[in-house]
Amino acid sequence: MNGKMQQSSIIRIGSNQQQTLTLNTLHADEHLTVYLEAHARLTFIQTYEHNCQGAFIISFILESDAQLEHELCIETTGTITGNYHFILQQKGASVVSRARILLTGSAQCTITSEQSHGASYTASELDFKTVVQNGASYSYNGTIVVAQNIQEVTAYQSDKALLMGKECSATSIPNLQILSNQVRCGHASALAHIGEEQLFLLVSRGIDSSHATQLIIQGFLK
Amino acid sequence: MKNQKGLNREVVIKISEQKNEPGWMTDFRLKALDIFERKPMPSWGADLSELDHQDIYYYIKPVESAERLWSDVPETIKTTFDALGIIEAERTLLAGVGAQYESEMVYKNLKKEWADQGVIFSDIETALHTHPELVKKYFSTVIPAHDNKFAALNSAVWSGGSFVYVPAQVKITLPLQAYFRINQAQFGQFERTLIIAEPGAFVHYVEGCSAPVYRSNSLHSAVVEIIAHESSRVRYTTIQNWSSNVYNLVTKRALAKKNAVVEWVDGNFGSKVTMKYPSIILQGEGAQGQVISIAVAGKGQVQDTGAKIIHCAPHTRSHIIAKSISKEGGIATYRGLLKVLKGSHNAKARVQCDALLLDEQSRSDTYPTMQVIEEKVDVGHEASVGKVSQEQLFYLGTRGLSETVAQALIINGFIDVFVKELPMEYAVEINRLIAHEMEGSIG
Repeated sequence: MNGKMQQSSIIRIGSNQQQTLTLNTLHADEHLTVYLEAHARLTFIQTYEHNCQGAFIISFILESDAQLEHELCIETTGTITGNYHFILQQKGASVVSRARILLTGSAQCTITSEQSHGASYTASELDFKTVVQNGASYSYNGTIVVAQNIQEVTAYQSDKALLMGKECSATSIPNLQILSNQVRCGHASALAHIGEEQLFLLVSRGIDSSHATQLIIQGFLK
Repeated sequence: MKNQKGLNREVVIKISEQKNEPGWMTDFRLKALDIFERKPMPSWGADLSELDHQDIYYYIKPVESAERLWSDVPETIKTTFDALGIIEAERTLLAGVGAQYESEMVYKNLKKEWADQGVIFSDIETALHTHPELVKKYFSTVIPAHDNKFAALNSAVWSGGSFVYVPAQVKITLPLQAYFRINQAQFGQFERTLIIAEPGAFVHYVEGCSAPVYRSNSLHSAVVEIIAHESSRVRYTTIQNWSSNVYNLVTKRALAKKNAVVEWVDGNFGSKVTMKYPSIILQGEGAQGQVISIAVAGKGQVQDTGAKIIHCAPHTRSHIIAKSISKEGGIATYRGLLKVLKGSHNAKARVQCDALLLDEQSRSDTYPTMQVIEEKVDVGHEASVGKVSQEQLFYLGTRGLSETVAQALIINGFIDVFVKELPMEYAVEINRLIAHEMEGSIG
């Protein structure tokens, strides 16, 4: 099923159902709550291109053994604010979320996320990669929360930004709040630029420097 | 004036008069008091609501600082002394029931050797009289009184602490230990330490110790300032094991000039609440900073620690390694800031935080912040939280080790990166302390 969402919508994926939802228009202020009932599987894709701008708050609430696969693609020179809340409230729920963001010129992107583990045997994994070019700015604030007295939780979070050109800035705040010891949690974040050595290697193989830069960006976003 | 609790202008003036301070210092204290009174309590971090500033002695007449009796020292502290193998003379000093230490003679010989090279190592009150120009030049230049509420408090009522001045190209091979210097004043409540390393100098300063320091006062609020001039290197090692009634709220900051290296090695074992974030401002090109810290949060303890590094110049490098262990309901928090300012091209920074949770009741939080306003940089952060794995315990169990011993061994491995940075005698004590702390705390 392909669905198109309005502002302040609630979506419910029924028990044992498997669905794909795509979202490619962005409103000024969009609120969305997605319920995944027991054993539901959802692939949720957000694609924002052509310099769109706006803000969204999306909450995913997962019941037992529900699975969410989330993808976010942004290419913009505008201002985007995104807020995710992944609530793994019952046993066996799992979330995989990937974001690939390309910001150019006057783009400003602020993403916050919270992975709330409220039940045992839940897993979440966030993998965000952003290219920040020529004056753009990017800010990420992510939190992993593991409630008390639950077992066998794995939660990971990775936020990587590649800074290119002049006047760009990036902020990364990955937080962990862990109240249970039967867990494996981690986060990693990196803010870096394209190394002279990498470029030199490619240029010395006969690739012109702008193509070489593109190749490195592609490699980074993979 | 009788000893009285609470803080006001009269108390501050009294402290300054008692120390026979120059006028500028009295003014500085009074300004700081105004700032302290105006500043609100921090709205973040550990809960400080039980801390009552008017219920603390800020000034005690020297003659009235009565000695305590050995029988007043809590039993838990005595057993820790036993476990660590602390010698008798040291015990009385640490417990605050005596004030003599046998190493004083050894230390005097060393002191002469350093003094011949122009090194100044004294308490800061003495330095204020013997080297007033040096103290005035650097005092409060790294941490101004308005930096935060507790820096303002310290600035108003400071007492005790060290002054270290190392002339250009002088390298002090043995660690300077506050331990030796402090006899009568003991471990100050509001101490103020100032370390200046001239170009090319090297000094390793060590304060605190792994044995528990028993205090009846409930607030310890120190300020430590380091100025590392061009190509100098300063290493500052702290191990704190305050008794479990102490709020330990400390501000530490270093300024690293061109090609200077500053290292904070920071171990936090005791206290009720610790809030401590050693900072380094990498001000000159090629400056390097390193913070290696460990926090152990046991029953009823909050260890809110971290590090702050600001890159202000090109080719600067920094490395933060923070390890924490939470047990019996303790809360360990890493709170850090890494900032790369415009123009600091080719800066490199690494942050690594690892947390170990030993039981279900404990808690570990990580709040790192990274801000980069420069594109030619390389900044990385990694954090992990976990428990002692059953496989590791099982493996050691099959080799005949009891669960307690096995767990202590694994934990020693976990904090190895910290222990390796310590002088030998401290490293031995820390290993014993960990073994002692882990007794009866199997998760």
